[in-house]
Amino acid sequence: MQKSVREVIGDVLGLAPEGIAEDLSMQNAEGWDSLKHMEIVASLEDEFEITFTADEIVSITSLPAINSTLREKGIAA
Amino acid sequence: MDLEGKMAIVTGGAGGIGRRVVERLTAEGSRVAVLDLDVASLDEPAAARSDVYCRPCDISDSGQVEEAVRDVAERLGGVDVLINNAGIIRNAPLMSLQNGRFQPHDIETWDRVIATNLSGTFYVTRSVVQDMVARRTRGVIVNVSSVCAAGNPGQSAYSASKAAIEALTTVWAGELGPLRIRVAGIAPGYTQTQTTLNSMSEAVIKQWKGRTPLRRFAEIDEIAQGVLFILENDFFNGRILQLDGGLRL
Repeated sequence: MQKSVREVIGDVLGLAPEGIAEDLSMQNAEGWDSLKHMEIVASLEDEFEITFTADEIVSITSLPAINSTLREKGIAA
Repeated sequence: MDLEGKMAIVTGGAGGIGRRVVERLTAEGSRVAVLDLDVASLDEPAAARSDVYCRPCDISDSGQVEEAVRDVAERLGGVDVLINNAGIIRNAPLMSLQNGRFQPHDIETWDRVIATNLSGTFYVTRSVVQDMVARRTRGVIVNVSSVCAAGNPGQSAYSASKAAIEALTTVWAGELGPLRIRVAGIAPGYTQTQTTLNSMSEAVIKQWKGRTPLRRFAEIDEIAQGVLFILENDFFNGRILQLDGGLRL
């Protein structure tokens, strides 16, 4: 069964999916640094079988931005 | 990785192991850019193969490296493979006896070896990875280390530079793996290159062959074959392929 975006992010950052704030981002999430960001990117790519462009990688630094980019790729997030 | 149609950069590709790697890559159908200081030798492989672009570059100069990588990418397309092969060997103990006095390892030699072998590898990789990430290339980087990474008395700078390159291999494999860029290394033992043979006397060569269980130096092609193995095996990552004939320092 496919994981939700919250579950993917939660797995990488060690957070409970239900406790993830709507506006979670690199700016306010403890531990979401550049290295963890790459892990989040890779995990999302694996989970949803997509490839982000370099521009997308640098822009999806928050939960809303990830959801928006996934929607643009035709994924209901 | 299937090397057909790929673009590779080989530093120090004008001679020795690098040159043989260039030959193997072109035989597999890759386009190759050679970055090397040795401009005179650069003409030879360039004349021999139309799929090889040779460009002079001092990899210890970060500005030259950025310019060279940009130029290569414009001419041959994005980089899929990087072979960090360029390096220099300088033999110098920490303390040597000269004219009846102890002399410490000179700073200039230390700086030169570290600048070329270590900083050069860092500069080239930094530039190439920028290109790979921008294009989301599932690239491969091979760092050429040495059996001396374990610490070879008489080679402080060289040993330190190669040990550091092995550490960078681990670091970069961890950082770039999520982006599907592989980073691995190869640590040749003593190899029949002109650089190695010129760096030691006949007596020392004999001594090292005697210490190697197979009682010989590696053929250049055996090392190039190891590089090809790393490139073609998609699960080889973050490790150093030891090709030393069983020699342990």
